[in-house]
Amino acid sequence: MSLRFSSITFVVLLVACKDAPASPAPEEPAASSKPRVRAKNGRRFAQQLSAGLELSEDELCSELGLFDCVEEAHLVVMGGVDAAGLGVAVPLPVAPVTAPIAYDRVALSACFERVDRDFESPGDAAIFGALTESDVSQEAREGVVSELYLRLLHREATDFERETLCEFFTDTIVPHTPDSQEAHQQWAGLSCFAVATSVESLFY
Amino acid sequence: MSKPMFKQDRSRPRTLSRRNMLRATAAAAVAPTLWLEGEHSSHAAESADDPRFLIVFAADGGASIIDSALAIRASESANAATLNTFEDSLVHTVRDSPFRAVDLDRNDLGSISVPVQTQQSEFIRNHHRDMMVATWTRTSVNHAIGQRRSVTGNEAWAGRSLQELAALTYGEQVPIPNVHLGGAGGFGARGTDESLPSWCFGETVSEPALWPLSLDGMRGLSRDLPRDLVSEARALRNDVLDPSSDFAKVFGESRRLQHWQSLRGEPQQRLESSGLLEKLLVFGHSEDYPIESYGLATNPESTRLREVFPNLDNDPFETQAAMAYLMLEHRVATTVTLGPSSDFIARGDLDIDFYGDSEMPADDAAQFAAGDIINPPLAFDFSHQAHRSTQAFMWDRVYKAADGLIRLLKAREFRNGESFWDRTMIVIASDFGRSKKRPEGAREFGTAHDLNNGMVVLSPMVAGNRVLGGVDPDTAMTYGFDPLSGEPRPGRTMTEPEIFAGLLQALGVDTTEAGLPDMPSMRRIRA
Repeated sequence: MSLRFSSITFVVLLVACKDAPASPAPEEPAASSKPRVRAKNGRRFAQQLSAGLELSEDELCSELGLFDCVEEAHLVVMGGVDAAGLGVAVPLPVAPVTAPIAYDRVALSACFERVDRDFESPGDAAIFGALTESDVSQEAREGVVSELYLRLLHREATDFERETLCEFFTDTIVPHTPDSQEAHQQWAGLSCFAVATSVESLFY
Repeated sequence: MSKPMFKQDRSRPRTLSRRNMLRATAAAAVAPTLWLEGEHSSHAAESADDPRFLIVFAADGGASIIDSALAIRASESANAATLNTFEDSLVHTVRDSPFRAVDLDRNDLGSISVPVQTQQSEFIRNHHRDMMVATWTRTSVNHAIGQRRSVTGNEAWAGRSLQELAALTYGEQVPIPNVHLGGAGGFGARGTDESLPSWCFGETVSEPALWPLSLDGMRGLSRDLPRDLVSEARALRNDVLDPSSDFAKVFGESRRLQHWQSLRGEPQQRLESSGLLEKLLVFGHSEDYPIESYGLATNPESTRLREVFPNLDNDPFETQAAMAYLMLEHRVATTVTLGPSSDFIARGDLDIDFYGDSEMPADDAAQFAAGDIINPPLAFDFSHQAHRSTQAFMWDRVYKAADGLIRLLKAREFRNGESFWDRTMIVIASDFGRSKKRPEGAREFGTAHDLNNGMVVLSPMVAGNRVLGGVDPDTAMTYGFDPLSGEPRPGRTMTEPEIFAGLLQALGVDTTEAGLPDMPSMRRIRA
């Protein structure tokens, strides 16, 4: 009885699908009526970058080669605390004006560290290996964008995001940097930076 | 291109109503040959070209006025042996000044065996003309509450702090109007008036040596990146990718996201375009601070700063003071809050560990040379254990930092022969006073917190070379003054809102809308 019912249901659904529009446009998500988000502090951000870029946390960013960006140089600016040393016992209630710059510095350092390593040893590349070839295709760049979104935001990139970042290469990077390999290095690092410091990446 | 999802908030409530302006103009017409600096300043409060600067010293732990400018000689008191009075020879009077100074020379700082030589008299000699003491009686002996009330006048103006009001009045055009160097405790607590623009609230700078690196996203990184390309990537992120994401569509109205996006706009561009990173580097290149290896130039002022603040490397308070100067000089901030740490700090090369891990034998640890101890534990609050030496030591520290700042600001022209100092006020804010009694004849003793105290203010804008109020030598309690004339009024005590109002008015902040009392006696009268 149960099987029979299911078969009928399947046939009905099949007919319904046949009559439906071919590819309905995805619906825009509704704005939240209570939009509450929290910023990821430096430590959480570093963990995310570390996992996504396959770098240890102490390889991400170091100011003047001596001071860990997240744990020392920008600790409080990036939402950390140091009650005993700096007298800051609770995270700053509001992001300070320098916070976006601090996050940018960390992401730029980490992303270009990943780029350097991948271009130096393409055989061991984690993300950007496809860009080290002599003739890099549009599909390869799209693949890199997809990889960045998966690794840093844990979701698929949309077509719009892929197109936008690939256009960034052709429209902005190439005219500025004629050398193909250097252009791809710049593009890889800056695309990584743009995704890593998007609000979707920095807030939850 | 998608339209931005986020709004910018640079709105600013007006502080000078038409009615207030008419009132102030009328007052000036009545007294054409005399004007009070505060009244004059309120006319110009809207103008970014006519700024005033406020420096708040966070004198943590109870900076007692009867251990500095209002010290009592034993011969003046009927109860000298049991009150906090000094041998007459220790209390100096500076010529042509109403202020007193305690110059101490002893071999201990409480239980710490170290030579302590303090020189308050030199500071008074150099700065008495711009120094004012106003007595007041506080409303809390709790550290955090007392600290907060010292800068909010016990919430006298909707919970706005002195610093927030200085920022509101003069800071709209500067990158970071209100800066707190270090933790600042209750002195830097965020006010409770959420109607203020966000840029009025304090920006915490916890590590002055490294913080300037967060003033530019690209300079000083381990690799050179093309600035224009990074800017393009930022624009792509801010204007195209972020607004198109589902995350922003759902949460774009969040205040945090909007604040974040607003910071990424004009404020960030202002910081980066003005080259502040290198201008605010306090230290020059060294092995421990290899800025030149990262493409950054040594600040040409670092040598001068080191001359004025010789303990720059070892003393975070001196580092803060140097940074405070640079922030005002470069018009980064309108108000800066700084203060000595409440941690024990010794000279950098000493191997001292008070938590039990030190290899140093107890006998060696007990002997320190002059200058070895930079800051006692608990700052002024070490007075619980050793009042006399702690107060002398800490006042000396505060005076030296103030002296350095004043010298630097005096030497720097603002415009037309006017120095930065001519426009600056230093408020030595403290949590509360200290209790007045001591065991009979005790040379060293501990004290508790006390509501009764006074405040030292330094500025060409205040009633300089004047003690407002006084102290009763038989009780060691301060008394108040007439708000209009400044004449002493034994039996009257000054409230926190009164002193708060007087400071703001001297700084040129129009307080009319707050209904605060008029305190002309605290402002400098110019002929």
